[in-house]
Amino acid sequence: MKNHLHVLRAEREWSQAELAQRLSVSRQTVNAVETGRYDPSLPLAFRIAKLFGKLIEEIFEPE
Amino acid sequence: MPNDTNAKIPAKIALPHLLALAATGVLLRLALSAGMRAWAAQPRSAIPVLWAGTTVLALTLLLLWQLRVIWKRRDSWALYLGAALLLILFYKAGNNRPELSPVEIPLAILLLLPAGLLVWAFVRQVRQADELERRILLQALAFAFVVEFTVAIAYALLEGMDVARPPSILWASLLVMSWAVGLGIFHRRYE
Repeated sequence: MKNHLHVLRAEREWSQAELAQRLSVSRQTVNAVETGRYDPSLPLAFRIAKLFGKLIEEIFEPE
Repeated sequence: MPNDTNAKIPAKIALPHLLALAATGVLLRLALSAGMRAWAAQPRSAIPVLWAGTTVLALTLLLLWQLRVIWKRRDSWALYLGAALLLILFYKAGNNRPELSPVEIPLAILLLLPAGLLVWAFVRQVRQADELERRILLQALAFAFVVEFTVAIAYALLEGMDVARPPSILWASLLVMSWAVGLGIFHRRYE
């Protein structure tokens, strides 16, 4: 699954640690999601979408 | 609070900490043995026992400080591995005599320290884990299960032959060590 998390985070000038804190997950999780090594659960995907004010499908898309 | 400090320091830095911890553990074990031997040789002579006691106290403080350093790094796998090393080091090999001399009692108590630390670290990690960390924990647990099961089966097959029976603490240490190695491997996979 591809995602635009890195771009969205860069637009807001947040570090991975800052985003992790906002999502209540570890920095490693943010990094793994951004690099596509880990697909987040549906609840986490909803939290990410809500944080960036977008729909899930606007952030995540199938490869 | 999420655990976001794992990647601030490269994981390989934990190795020198572990080696230092093991070295202190070896020295502490030697000091305890020397103290026990001194007590057995001259029960009424306080000076050798005092020297050994002072050394043991200093090394124990050093050991606690080293554990604190590893603890603050929040590298759980290093903490598990360190505790497993200490379990082996403090284990009293040889004949299990029913009576304990006053010098041997601290040794038995010291064995509880890494065991308690292991339980504490495990509970803390499970409670604080997010979804990726839970996946890593599960993978590490599966790895530890496979290692322990394989070794246990191999040992069971060899049991009929004249193979020296290992002390039972080694089974617990093997489980913890393979768990720690699994954590290290699977953490690296998602970094």
